[in-house]
Formats: sequence, C-alpha cells, structure tokens
Amino acid sequence: MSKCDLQIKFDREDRTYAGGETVTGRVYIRINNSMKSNGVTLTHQWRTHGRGNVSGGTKETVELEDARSYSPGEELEFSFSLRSPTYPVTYHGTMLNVDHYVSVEVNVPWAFDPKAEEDYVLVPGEPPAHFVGSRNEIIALTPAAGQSSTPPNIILAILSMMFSLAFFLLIKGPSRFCKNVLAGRLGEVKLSTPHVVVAPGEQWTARIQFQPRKRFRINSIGVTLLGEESATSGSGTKTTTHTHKIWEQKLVVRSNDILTAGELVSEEFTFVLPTTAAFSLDLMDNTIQWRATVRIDMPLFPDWSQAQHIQIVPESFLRNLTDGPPMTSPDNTASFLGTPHTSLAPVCASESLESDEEEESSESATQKMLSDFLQLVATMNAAPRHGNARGHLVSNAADQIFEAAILIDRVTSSMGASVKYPGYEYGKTVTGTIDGTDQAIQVNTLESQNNGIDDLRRGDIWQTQLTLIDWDSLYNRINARQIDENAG
Amino acid sequence: MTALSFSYLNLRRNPFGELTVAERTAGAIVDCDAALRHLALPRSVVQVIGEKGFGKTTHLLALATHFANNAYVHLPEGQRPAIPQLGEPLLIDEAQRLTRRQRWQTFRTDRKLILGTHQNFENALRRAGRPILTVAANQFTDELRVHTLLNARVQAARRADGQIPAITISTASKLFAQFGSDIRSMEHAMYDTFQQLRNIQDV
Repeated sequence: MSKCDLQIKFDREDRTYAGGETVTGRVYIRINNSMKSNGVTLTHQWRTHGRGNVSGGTKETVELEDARSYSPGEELEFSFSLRSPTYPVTYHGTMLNVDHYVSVEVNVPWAFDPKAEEDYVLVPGEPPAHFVGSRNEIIALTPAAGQSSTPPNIILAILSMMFSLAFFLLIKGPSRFCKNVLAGRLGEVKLSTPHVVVAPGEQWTARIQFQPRKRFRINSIGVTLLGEESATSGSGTKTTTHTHKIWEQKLVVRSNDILTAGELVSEEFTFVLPTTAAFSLDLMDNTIQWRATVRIDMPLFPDWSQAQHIQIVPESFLRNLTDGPPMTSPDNTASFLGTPHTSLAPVCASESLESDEEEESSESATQKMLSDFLQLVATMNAAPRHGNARGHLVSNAADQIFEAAILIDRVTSSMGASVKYPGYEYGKTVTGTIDGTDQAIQVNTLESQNNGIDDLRRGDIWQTQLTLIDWDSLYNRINARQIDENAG
Repeated sequence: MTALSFSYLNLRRNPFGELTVAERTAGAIVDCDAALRHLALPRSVVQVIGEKGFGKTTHLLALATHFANNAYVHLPEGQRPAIPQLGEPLLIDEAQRLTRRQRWQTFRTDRKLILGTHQNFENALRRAGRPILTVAANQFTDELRVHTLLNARVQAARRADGQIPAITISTASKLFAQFGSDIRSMEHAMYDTFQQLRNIQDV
C-alpha cells in the first residue's frame, strides 16, 4: 500500500474549459501510513505526446500545503483554481497530441513521491494576448516552451549552416536555371492570397495571374491544399521525422488547354477550408502545417509551382486581427477590352407574345424583386461588418428569388470547384458588384448559359434572377446562383 | 466535443509514443543486481553493449536511479559535448563517440563509469586497470521479456482501474521473430496498432 492515495477532481464533469477560463477542482489526499512531507504541490502544464519528442509548456506550480507530518487515516481536501492558457488547445491527432494536465505531488523526503495527474480538455476561447496583427501574414504563435528533450546547440547550428550551403550549391543552382526557363515561357507569375490567417470552415481564395510569353500547351493549372502533422523523435543525426496527412484537397481550374502569347491568364481558386481542430502548431519537434501549392503543369516541361503557408487558427483568435486589404482587382485590360454593353440576359425575357397587361404585371414583379434585393443589400450594409449578422441575413433570404443587376468585374470557369448544385459544376462564376452599390457578389451560372455568359465583358451590366447561397465573410461578398428559368 | 485522449481504451495516451526521460526511467524493466554489485568495487566500470533499439539507454537510466549523485551525458553524433567533471558514477551514453583524448582522460580517472556503447572497450579499460563488467543489452530479451516489456508500457499509460488492452504472447512472439532484440522497432509497430484500436481488446 502506498503512503497515501491522491485524487484530482475537476468541478466540471466533462473537464472541458475554454482558453482563458478558470479551471477549478479539488484534490483529495488520504493518508495510509504515518509520514512526513516537505509540502504538497500542484502543477499545471501542457505537454505533447505521440511519435515526436515530448514538448511542454512552462510548469505553473502552486503550493497547496507546507511541510508537516501526517497520521494514518487522515483525509485532506484542497481546492484549486487556475487560469487556463489560451494556446495551444487540446488536440488529438495521429502523430501528435496536445493535452493539458493538472498534477499533485506529495514531497516525501528520502522516498518515492506519491503523485497523481489528470488531464482536461482545453477548447478555443480567448485569443492569446500577443496574437495581433494582420490576417495577411503568418503571426508567430509559439507558446512559452518549458521542456524539450532535444535542446539545440551551437555545433548543430554550424552543421545546419554547412548543410544549407551545400543545399544551395547543389539544389538551388539548377533550381535558379529552372526558374529562368519557366520565366521565359510564363512571364512573371503573380500569386495573390488575400488572407493567410484563416479559421476552419472559412472560404479561402487565391489568384494566379500571368501573361505567357509564348504559345504553349498546359496539362493543368491547379492547387493542392495540404494539412500535415509532423513529429520528430530522437536527437542529433539520429532524428526520425514522422508525418501524417490530415487533409489533402486538389482543385484544377483549367486543364488540357493552350495558352496564347500575350493573353492574360487570371484564375481564381476557392476552397472552403475543412472544419478541423487541427490548428496550425509550431513546436520544436511537433508541428501542424497547412499549405496551398499552386502548380502549372506543362507537358515535357518543368512545372511551375509555389507554396503558400496558411495559418489555421480558431475563429475566436481572429477577433483581434485586422482584415487584410481586398485582393487587388486583376489587370484584365489586355484580355477584356471593349466598350461596356448592357445586359445579355434580360430578366424575365419572355419570348412569347403576351398581352400588354401581362407584360406590365411581369415588369412590375421584376421591379419588386429588384427593389427587394436592393433593400436586402442595404440592410446587410447596415449590419456590423464582423460577426454573423450578415451571414444570418443571407441565410434567412436563401429561399427567395431575387432580380439583380450586376456590374461585371470578371467571368471565370467554375470547373466543378465548390459548386454543389447539378447543372452548375461546369458553368461560369461571375464576380462583380450589385449595380448602384459597392456590394460584392459572386454568382454561379448554369452550364447551359455558358455561351451567353462568355460574351460578358468587364464593365457590362448583367441582369439575372438569382437565389442566395451564403455569405463570404472573407471577401464581404454575397455568394449566389443563377436561377434556371426554364426549370419547373 | 473533444473527449479525453485514449479514454475509450482506458488509457491516457498511446502507450508506444515517445517518453520523457523520467517516464522511460520509471518504466524500465532491467535486472540491475549484477551491475550494482560490480559497481561496489572501486574504479569499476559497467559497459552496456548493444545495437540501436536494444535498450542501452534504458539500462543506463535504470542504473542511474540507484545513484543520487550520478552524472549522465549523451554524446550525439557529430557533436562533442563536455564530459561532466562532477558526479559519480559517470554515465556516458553512446560512448563509442568519445574522442581518443576524452577516452584516455575518462578511462584513467578513478570515477566509476557506466557506458552505453556499440563498441567493446574491454581491452582499453583493462589496460587502464579498471575492473569491468560487460552487459549485453539484449542478454535477457526473448519472447517472454518482450511480452512483459510491452504490457508494462500499456500499464504505464493506464487511465483508471478496470480493463485495458493487453498484448498477447502470440503477438510478442511475432514481434520478436520480426524484429529480434530491437525493442524500439517493436514499439513503433505497436504505436500504429494502438492508433487503430477502437475498443479495449487483446492485441
């Protein structure tokens, strides 16, 4: 029998606390044999476990009791109250896990110290105090580290520098040559991403733009979103790194096509980020990384590719961040020349000959739908920019049909990207603003309407019937789909 | 809602993940008697020999717990950390990486030594007048020991009273047949198995 039995009980049955909340509970000690103790301490710490070396946060220690003697049968009870950290939150993955622990230890001189430890679940809550800045660049979110089994040293740093130099000479040399060859064909390729600090479930968009210098064939232009756990065990040159893919999603926006010299290529990739608890994590031996790699695949030619790291953080962490400026409008003048013309698909353009009365009635219905839409837009603009108010307004109006006049910014092929509705997968995506307002809108159009939509040019006013899909908080934009007027 | 880690197996974590030095020391199952008897002699040396993954470090850490004033140093490849000047016995992990000068200096002192090494230093130590005991890290490794070691790892990750997954002697035999004395590779294989496990069952 041990000298004493220890038990830790949290006040919450589910042991779940949000970042920044107070973790409360009780410690019970039952003395079995008479003993002397140098004190009872309570420790609070987060640690990793899994395939990688154990990393942990700074230990926070509280003295529950001073040194004293105990008699058999004595029962002690202590309450504790600790402020939970805000980061890292609990994570249970394949190669790595993060858990938060409360442990209690009775310091018995010259003997084994009785100890008990319990874990609790930390869910996202308050953002870390130092997590401020812009969503346009990765924000260092390294928690205060307490222990790690493999501290770096100067010799390792020198070896790493020598390796980097060798890497530069052996790999970067040919890579520079490759870059020049690619630039000779593709010109300058611009990859723009509006935000790199994002929350799960958010829509994330990147845009690639370039003006080919030559005419050539491409296999595809696409992007791969990859989330990966990485855990390193061992030290020195005996390290082994284990990786595990959490998420992989590929999106191709153009395939088997011929690009013409001088014609601007502007493609937009839109992902809905997975609703994941695998938030970006950067510890010495344990990481969770997210990156989007855009690739231009050309037959019999080296591929062009560029990776963009994305920092996925809990939604509540975005509270203290400033929104990045909207993605700059593409310079489409080269490919979108021509005078603006009016709607190609007039609303309710009934081809049948109907009575004047019916026409008047139809026109008045159209006007009402137009005005309803403008009214909704005005209400949305009056709602707070942050929070869910605008999203709720769009959700509430999701079943209605509206008439909209849209000032065209650009038209791209949907190529099956994030379009859930049949008949729209290979249609077009029209982006612009609602005429007479600054409200951005993106409309998925029907595949059957591709010919008409292809004729739209930047600056055109396009009038159509649509229904709302959702609200894109990232771009402050309405997502909608064109109504199939022939259906039903 | 996130559940507690591995609570569905009545465990706190995957038992075969990396451990801290303290956890590894606490969980070591090593017969230290002969080595401890030998270390009672003045200027004595115990060298633990074995290949990668055989349990040299675990042996050293288990022996270290018997000496309050010990000094431990691990020599990583390509690096030259200083040898601690204080503490006895002096435990040197990966002692085959000692430079000639360090070896000469260390072997000729009066400090008791415990070496974890791939290379046998018996002759050099005898020349230095040291009483030496060589222990093969895998000397007692067989199917039964593998069975005991792996189940001890599972026990160390226990969350509460009640049933936990158990590793059968048949699995231990298969692992021994596949990996020999390489305990580390067995642990890696079992990590994947436990990661897939969804119910408490024999493995």
